[in-house]
Amino acid sequence: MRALGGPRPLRVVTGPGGGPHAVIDAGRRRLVVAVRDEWLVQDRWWTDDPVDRHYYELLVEPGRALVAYRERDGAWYAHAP
Amino acid sequence: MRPITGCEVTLGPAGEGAGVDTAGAHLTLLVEDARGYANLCRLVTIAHRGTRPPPDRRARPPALPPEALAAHAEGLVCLTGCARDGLVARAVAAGRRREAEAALGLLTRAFGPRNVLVEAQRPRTRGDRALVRDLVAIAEAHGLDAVATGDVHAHHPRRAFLQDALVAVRHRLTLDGSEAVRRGNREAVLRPPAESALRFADHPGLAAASARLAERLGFDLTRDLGYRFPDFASGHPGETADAALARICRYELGARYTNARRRVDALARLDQELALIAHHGLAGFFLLHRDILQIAREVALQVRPAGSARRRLPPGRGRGSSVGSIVCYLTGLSHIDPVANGLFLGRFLNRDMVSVPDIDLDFPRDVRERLIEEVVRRYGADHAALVAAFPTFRARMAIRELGGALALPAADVERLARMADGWSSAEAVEEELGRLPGGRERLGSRRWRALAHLCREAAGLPRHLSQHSGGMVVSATPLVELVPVVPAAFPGRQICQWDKDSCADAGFVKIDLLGLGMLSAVEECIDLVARSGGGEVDLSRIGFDDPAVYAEIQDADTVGVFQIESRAQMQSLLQTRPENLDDLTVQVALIRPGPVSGGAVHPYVRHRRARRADPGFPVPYDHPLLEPVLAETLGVVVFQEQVLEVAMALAGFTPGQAEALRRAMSRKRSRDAMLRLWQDFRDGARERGVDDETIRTVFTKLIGFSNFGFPKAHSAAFAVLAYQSAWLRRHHPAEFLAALVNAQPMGFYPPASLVRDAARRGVRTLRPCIARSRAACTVEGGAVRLGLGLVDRVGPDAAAAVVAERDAHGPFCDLPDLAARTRLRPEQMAQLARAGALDDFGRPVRELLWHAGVLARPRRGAAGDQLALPLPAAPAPDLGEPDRIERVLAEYETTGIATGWHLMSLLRPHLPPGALPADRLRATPHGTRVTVAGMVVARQRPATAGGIVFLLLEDETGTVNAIVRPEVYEAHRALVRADPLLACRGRLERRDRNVNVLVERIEAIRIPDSAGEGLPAEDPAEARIRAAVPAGQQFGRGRR
Repeated sequence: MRALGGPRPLRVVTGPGGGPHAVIDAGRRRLVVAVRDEWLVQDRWWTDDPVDRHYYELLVEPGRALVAYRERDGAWYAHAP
Repeated sequence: MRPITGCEVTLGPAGEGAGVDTAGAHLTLLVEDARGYANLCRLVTIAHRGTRPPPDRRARPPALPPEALAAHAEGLVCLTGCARDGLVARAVAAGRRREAEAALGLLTRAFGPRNVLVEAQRPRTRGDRALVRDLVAIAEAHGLDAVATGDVHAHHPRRAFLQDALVAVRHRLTLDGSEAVRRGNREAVLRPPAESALRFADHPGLAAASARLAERLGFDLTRDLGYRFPDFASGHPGETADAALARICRYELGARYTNARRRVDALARLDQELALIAHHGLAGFFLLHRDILQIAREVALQVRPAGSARRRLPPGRGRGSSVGSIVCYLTGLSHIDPVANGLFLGRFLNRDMVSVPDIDLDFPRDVRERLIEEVVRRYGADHAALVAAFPTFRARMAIRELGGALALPAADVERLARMADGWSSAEAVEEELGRLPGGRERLGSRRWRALAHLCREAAGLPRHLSQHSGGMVVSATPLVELVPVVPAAFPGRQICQWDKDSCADAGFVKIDLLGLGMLSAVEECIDLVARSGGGEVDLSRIGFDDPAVYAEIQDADTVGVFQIESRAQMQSLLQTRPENLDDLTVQVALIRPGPVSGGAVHPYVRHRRARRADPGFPVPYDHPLLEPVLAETLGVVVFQEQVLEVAMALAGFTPGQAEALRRAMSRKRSRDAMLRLWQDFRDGARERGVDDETIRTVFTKLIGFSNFGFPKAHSAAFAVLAYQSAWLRRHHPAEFLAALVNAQPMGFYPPASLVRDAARRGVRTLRPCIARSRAACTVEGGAVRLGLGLVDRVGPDAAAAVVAERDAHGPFCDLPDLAARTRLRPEQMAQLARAGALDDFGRPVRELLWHAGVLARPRRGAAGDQLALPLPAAPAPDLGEPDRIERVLAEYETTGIATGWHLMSLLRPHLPPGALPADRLRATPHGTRVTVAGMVVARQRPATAGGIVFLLLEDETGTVNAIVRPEVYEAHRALVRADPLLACRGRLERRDRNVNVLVERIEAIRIPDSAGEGLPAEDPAEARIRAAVPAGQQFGRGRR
């Protein structure tokens, strides 16, 4: 069995504040048009798999919504739409 | 930083037609002025009203009925609540616009539009940005201001972990299972202003509005609280409180001091005290206490049965420094004559004092319970309440609760919890964990490391609100406008939300009504003596000079005697050998942390021994100036006020300066204050020609003494009770034992040891008996008959019902009769059978147990009780009789008291070879290697003893003191801390009249399965015996 809609790695070009400027998805560079929301999830710190993620709800060219997050180690992932 | 007073309240459900769901919604109420503070206190009080519902009064969360807001809105500013549960935010977030508007309507009607502000927060959770936007929009639409707030749940991000864990604990969930109720990130913490403002950069008006609001909220709790203690109403029109107090005292003085010369001294002392009382405006305070004592007299007459020998006793007695006051003596608040006993006043009352003095009153428990209710009734529920206490997280509780939240294996958590000292700090959990078998590996796991971290963070944090041991506050202005008042777990009691320090800061008058187990025991003993035909004992006439009583005290034969029964006291008694009440007064105060760490004990013992050998022995003093103040304690500081007197005599301190020194030395030591006082002390003493060496020596002793000692006045009061209890124990040993067991829990020894000690002195104890026992212990033909209420799982209430039925309708003839006529549950009947209480039915115990199991109690029908038919039970199979060890175990497991064999005499065949009984040690030479074994009655590790653990072992012949040095303790930690049956090998030490075993090796007494012959096979003897042995004193402090 396999969980559907799990996160997949994402390449992100960050802007001066560390926020996402553009994403590279399926080999194509897409500019971030708007950050609709951003939030933090810091949980399960008592387990061997602690969660510390900075989430962004993005609008990328050409008008597609994308929920992405950055792990504490700097790696980016996208939640499948 | 400037604190703003306020409270987040949770609302209860709104009435019909409100158009808004208020249940569980939060509001933030902030205080603008004194009226608002009073209203907030009232609202919080109202929210707590229903938090202890009958029948079990288990705590429920508070909830404020929204209808209450309007009547108490004046002076308050209402914010619309937090992002997650706020009354308005909750509706807005769910898209229920109409409900949000109805909520705003409800609030603006109650508080007025100027005082309702829409609260916006950015906790960095999904959707919070949109929520802020929507909240700002709805505020604008209604013409209301919006403000930014922080939703702060911890002061530092590091503490957010603990906040998560405590949320899980509060919801009785694990961390893994509590995601829905936790915050989800570590953002709900206090932040610097700039960082907070940055978060609301999209809406710059919000932060500015918050700042404006903060400016507006000028209320200062430290300045604006209007407390007054109850006005004094004199029976003589126009008489002031000062005049009334003087009148009452002068009248009493004439009656109590009939000797003319004494009267002159007493009058001088009275005038001095009245002048101080007038100077501080405290006459009303003393008269208030006198009124309370009058209420206590009336309560005592209700509580003490008519015709009881107790009725002639005063309702209570003073303790603490107030016993040194002649005004307290003359108004009945103390029973010790301060003039005759040369008691020092300065600690209680002096010209420079800034706080209200303490008057502590001790009562028997039954009088105290009724008195607390009666004080609330007389002054009104809005004007009187008990003082709160905030028990903090200690190691054991922290490990259990946080270990549970982390879902660590329950058995491991419990093992760790038991290893921790009951009173040790939760900061040391990591260290304890490392010591556990496999502990190092555990610390490699994140969950166990989290436990160590959380315990460290939780150390010292208040865990819940509880009741102070006896402090009450009474106020003329309604107390519920000064501090919220909440119902207590105990029916009829209420607690204010402040502890004693906060009450003192607020200037509240605290009245200490303390329950003292020994007073209950003494009173009951007098009653039992009268009932068993021993005549009326009048404690005020027994004198304090019975040589037989002192002979026992000097031999440390004091198990059960008030204050001088502990292991340490016994060891000291053998050396100090008190001969009169003055000696006892010193003795009570001597074995306290203050004199012990102030280095007073050994010199005192030495000087007493020298005095015994040569009555002309000149006591050495550190300086001749100290002779007048230290003569009665042979040159050492024993009493708390001697710290003051020494500072006055050596350094010329005023009483106020000296009291400041005592306070500075107390727990909350201030380095700066100490340094200033040290300079004053040194300069003052130098002026009097004292050399620097002596100044330093004396000051060091005072610091060592610190604050941990009794005032002489308190010791004198306790010495009287110590003597009275020793006298009753000597002359009425059976009645005294019965009364002591009935007054449990109290004292140093478990009831089993009290019974064992009495047996050595010829008092027999009889098993509980269904035909003869009362609910409590009684005296029957010179022996003590245990009460039915002592039986575990039966308890005093069920026992009283059984006895009442027997009194009304005659004795029970068999088990079916007992089952039919009482409401005893099958397991309660089984417990009675196992305790031996049903032996009179003439059936074997195992047959009774069988029948108790198959007998069903008549059911309660709709029309009341069914007819009580004696039910014939099925015949029991042949079950045989339990053997001796089973009998002893059954007694431990039911009443905790073995009336026949001592467990150790049954285990003796299994002890290591050569183990000596306790009574053989007296004749064993110093230095002999011995093995001793017994039940652990007490284990102590006093802070003053440098890591040494003292074990008191009991066997069938007496007790043995075992001294465990730190290196031995470390090697046998688990055994020393927790095992109830120990064998110790070591060297016998004989010092003066003390015999101790200096332990080198410790082992658990191993019990082969054959010892449990007759025990059911599925119940291994070893585990059951260990579990059944009564728990002794455990590292902790004594029970009152």
